[in-house]
This record gives sequence, structure tokens and C-alpha cells, in this order.
Amino acid sequence: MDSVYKKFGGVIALDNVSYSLNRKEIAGIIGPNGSGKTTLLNVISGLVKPDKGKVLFKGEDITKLPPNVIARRGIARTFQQPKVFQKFSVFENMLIATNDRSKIYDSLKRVGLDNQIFRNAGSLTILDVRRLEIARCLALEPEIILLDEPFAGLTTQEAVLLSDLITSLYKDLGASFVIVEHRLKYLFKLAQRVTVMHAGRVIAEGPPSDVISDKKVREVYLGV
Amino acid sequence: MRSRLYIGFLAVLLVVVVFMPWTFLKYLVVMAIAFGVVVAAYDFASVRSGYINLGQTFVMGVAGYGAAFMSQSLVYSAVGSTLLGAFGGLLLGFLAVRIRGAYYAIATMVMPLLLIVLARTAYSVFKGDDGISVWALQSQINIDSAAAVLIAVAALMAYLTKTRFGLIIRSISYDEMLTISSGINTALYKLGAYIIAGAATGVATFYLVVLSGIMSTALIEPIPWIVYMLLASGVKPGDVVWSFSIGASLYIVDVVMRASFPNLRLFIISLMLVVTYAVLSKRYATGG
Repeated sequence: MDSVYKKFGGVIALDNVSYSLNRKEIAGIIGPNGSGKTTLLNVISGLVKPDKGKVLFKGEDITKLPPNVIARRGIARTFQQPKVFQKFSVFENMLIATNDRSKIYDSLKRVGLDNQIFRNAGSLTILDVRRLEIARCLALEPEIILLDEPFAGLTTQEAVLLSDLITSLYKDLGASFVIVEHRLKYLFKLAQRVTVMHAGRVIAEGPPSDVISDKKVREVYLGV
Repeated sequence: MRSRLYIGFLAVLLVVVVFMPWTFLKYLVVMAIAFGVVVAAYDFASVRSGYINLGQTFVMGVAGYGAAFMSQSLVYSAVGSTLLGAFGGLLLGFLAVRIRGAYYAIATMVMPLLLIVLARTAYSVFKGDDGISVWALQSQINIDSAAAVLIAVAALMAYLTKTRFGLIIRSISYDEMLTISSGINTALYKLGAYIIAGAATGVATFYLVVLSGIMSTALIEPIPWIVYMLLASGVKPGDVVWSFSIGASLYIVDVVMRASFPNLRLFIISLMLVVTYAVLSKRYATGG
């Protein structure tokens, strides 16, 4: 992402933000509410178009591409509020993303939902909804997976299970992950690099251990 | 299981029509089936994708005039009605891609009204409220094959809801952003659904026009036709089987009302709509 600027009414959501992601990397994004984290994911996935700046993917400018094309090109995402089609079965949820049955079964198996294929998605636990969201991403054969607050609402035990799942997917697939998260304990275990945002700007970036000790980060985000 | 029941129901319906000894009743049932197909098509594209479409009679109008203008030949008339129905559906589909919510409802409501104004203004072409006579075609129609064609179209609509295409159309009504994020070009799917629904409406309208012997503004009037569509599709939104069955039944109710108490007809229809939606809104509000 190169010098992306996005304004909603009078609020500057992203103020000339440049952000890059390496191949096969788990990158974290943290910051207080309203700092522009989700807008950043929305711009990358094409759901929000920037006022200025460019989004490049493998050297190609994808800024103006529709979000469905971006998803097919290999940038899949989940949402802050878990989004699945609650009235559909797990299988039907997957069928929206792909018609390839083997890909559906493979993706569900990877996330551990292969034994719940015909269960109604509305009756799944929050952890399983998160798994289903990730399986839907996998069905798109992504190169980048954007996870928006995947640990929100999970119990400690569930968060550990999800963390293990992300780790195993990271090892098995060649994909990169961008994880926006408030529960730093889980994020810092996963991420190799963390970006800190505040008021639409990147204020710090680096390995989790460096970021957490950054004076400015502690001041604006951790309040210490 | 439900699919088998529906196929069984349609097969029984066809047998009943074929072996029905009373010609008038036979014509009435086939016209009711034709209206049921219109409602099923309406449900398939609009209700299923979450749009409040008040302009379906525009599609009926475009297709109906197509059937009437090409009434020199039965085949041309049928094909013309189907193609123009698909074109009318495409126009509604374009609106569905561009606008949403109340704006879509208002924009679609205007379309049949404009067509009625055009039909009355250009009387020499459309013959306004008097209508264009197509009696000559009626004698060429085999009523049993008409029933078979219409039932096949109804079955096709039901089949499409079971396919991935139907599932995607349904997913748009639940969460279009999630559908898009799943890599789906929802605009194309919406257009596809509206074209298919338009073509199905075109086929059904052809039979409605030919069996009634006339194409006039009466077929385009949003009241009562849109009201019946809203009633029929409101009971189980997105379920074309219910919409087809209730739509066909309402057509027969309408014929009875026209014959028995024409002055009270619009009052009764309005009352039915208000009561149905009051009950449904209560049901949906309580999650029942």
C-alpha cells in the first residue's frame, strides 16, 4: 500500500499510510479503536476505495479492482463481526466461494470442520464460525489472508485452539497473514512483525518485543 | 424430500388439468398456473435477492405487448414475449445493480405506470385500456400443452433455487458484502436472475394474453397484480414453491371476486395485504 489516504466525512481514517507485506509472513496490526486498522483491511480487500494512493499486489495496481476480483486474485478476508450465512449449512457457506467439492472438503478438513459439513452455520460455536470464515478464505486459494479481530469473543481455550490453527495453516500453506487484533497476548505469539496505528497513521512497526517497549506505543495504545 | 413432493404436486396438477372435463375451468386453472409462474419468477429474482420490486407488471407489459404485436404467428408471439420479458427483466436487473432499498421500490413502481401512460397516449399503437385483440391465436393453442409448458417453467424455477446459482442469489439478500468477499460478482448474478425471471414471466404472460384473448393496460396495473405478488411471496419469502402455489390460488380468488363482488374487490385485496403483512411482521419480529 503506497501513501493511501481515506477520509469519511470529516474523519481521516487513513492518513498517507504506506504498508507492505512480505511473502509468507504473519503481520499484526494493533491500535486503539478508530485508529484505521479495519479501514486498512477494507482498502486492501477493495471494499473501500482510497481517496488517494495505491494498493499493489505482486507488482500490479489493484486499487480500482472490485472486491470480488481481488478475492479471486488471492486476497481473502474475515470480518470483525463474524460473518457467515447463518441460515445456510456449513457446506452451502463454502459453496458460495467455490463449486469445487474437493476444495471445499479439503478446506473444511484443514480447519477441523469436516465433521460438521451439513450442520446449520447459525448453530455453530463462535470458534467454529471463525473456523468456517477461515475455511471460506482457504477455498479461494489465497496468497494473503486478512483476519479482522479473529480472537474477539473467544474463551482462552478457544483462542489457543484458533492460534494453533493459524500456526498450522501458516506452516502448511504458502500464504501470508495480516491479523488485526486487540488481544495482544495471542497476536504477539503469532506475528513476526507488528504495525501500530493511531489516528489513521502508522506510529510504530517492528518485531513484537520492540513494539511493546516503544514509548509512544505504550503512551497512545497501552496507556502506560 | 421436499423437491420430490413439489414434483409430485406439479405432476398431479398437470394430470388434473389434462383430464378436466370442463373447458372453462380448464382455461381458468391454466391461467392461474401462468400467474403462479409470474409470482414464482418474481420471488426468484426480487424477493430471493432481497429487493422490494414493485414493477414486475412492467415486465408483464413489455412481454404482453410483444406477444400482441407478433400475434400473426403463434411461434413468433411466444418467442417475442419470452425475449421481451427477458429484456424487461434485464432493465429491472440494471436498477437492482445500481440502487437499493426504498429507492429501488420507487424506481420500479414508476416503470409500469410509465408504460400505462405510454399505452394510453399512443392509442393507435397500443390501443390503451381497450387493448389489442389476440383472439386469433387462442384457437391455435393446445391447452394441455400450455399447462405442460407452464408447469415445466415452474419446475425449472424451483430447480434453479436448489442450484449454486440460486444459493448465491439467496446469499445476496442475507449479506451482499460477504457474498462479494467470497469472490462473487453479485451484479452479474443479479442480472442473470432478473433475465431468467423476466423470460419465465414472458412465457407466462404469453399464455395469459393469448388465453384471455386481449393485451391491455389491465395486465400492467400494479393493483391488484403487484399486491398479489407481494401477498404470495410474503408468506415464505424466497420459496418459489409457496409463491407459485399461493399466486395461482390468488388468481382464482381474483376471478371469483371479479364475478361476485367487483366493487369490493380492491378493498378486499388491500385488506388481505394489510392483514397478511401485519401477521408476518409480528411473526418475523418474534423470530417465529
